[in-house]
Amino acid sequence: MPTPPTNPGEALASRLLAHAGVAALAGAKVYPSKPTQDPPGGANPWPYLVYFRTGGGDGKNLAGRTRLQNYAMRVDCYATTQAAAEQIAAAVAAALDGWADRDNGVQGCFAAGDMDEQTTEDGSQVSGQTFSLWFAPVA
Amino acid sequence: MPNENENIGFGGTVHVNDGASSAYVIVPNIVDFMPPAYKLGTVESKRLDLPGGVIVKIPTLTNGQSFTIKHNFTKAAFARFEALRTAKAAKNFRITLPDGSPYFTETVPGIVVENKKGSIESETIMTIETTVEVSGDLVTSGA
Repeated sequence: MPTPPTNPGEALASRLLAHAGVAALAGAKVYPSKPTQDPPGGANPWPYLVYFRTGGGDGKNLAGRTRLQNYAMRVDCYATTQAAAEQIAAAVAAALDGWADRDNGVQGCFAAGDMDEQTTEDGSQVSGQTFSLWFAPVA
Repeated sequence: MPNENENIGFGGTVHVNDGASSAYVIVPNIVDFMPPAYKLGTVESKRLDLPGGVIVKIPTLTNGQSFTIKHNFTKAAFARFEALRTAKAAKNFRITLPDGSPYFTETVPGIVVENKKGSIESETIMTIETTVEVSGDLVTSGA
């Protein structure tokens, strides 16, 4: 049995890498934060997606920090066309919105209402969204 | 899966045994649910000759009170719960709350007394708030 994830980033990455819809569009190109300057794919690294934590982790009660924490996790999808970026973003939403996997510490994951899109300086298209992730490391 | 120290409500369910086949059927699309709470009543004893002049309270009867289920409005959902209300009969409600494995479950008898449609607004999902009066003792409760 695989080791359960120890942090929300690992949990999210495992989910995205295992999701057929995401894998069909981005393969294994799921990176924490930004990829390196020379991501796999060389001169043509697209499409890929990145995830990073933008907030949360402040849960507490009178006994101290709670094991269950709520995190805001941002996922941005990069592609050469807006249509492709949107397609990956939709697959990410299908993978994460309403996802729960208590055996791996995920009590729930929900899409926020901030889905957006932009064009980067190198011309690649980005579509992204924040997800509210409730995660408690498995004891 | 061990019990957690904290849980969110996602994954909680309500089933109603409302069919002729005595089968529990889930209430779909619940957005908010206030579970039932049995409350033990008390009466005050206020005799002026009580020791120390302190009011004494004596336990009396337990009241199951009421609970509410807020779920998405559909014609089918409204018709289902209106049928329960107009039947004027107690049905068993099975409530499941997530924690560990198996989840916490309790079953209570209740009478549907109201199906109140929520405020109808242009950009708000329509809801029904069903109110159930608990009509007896807890049927089953599980860890």
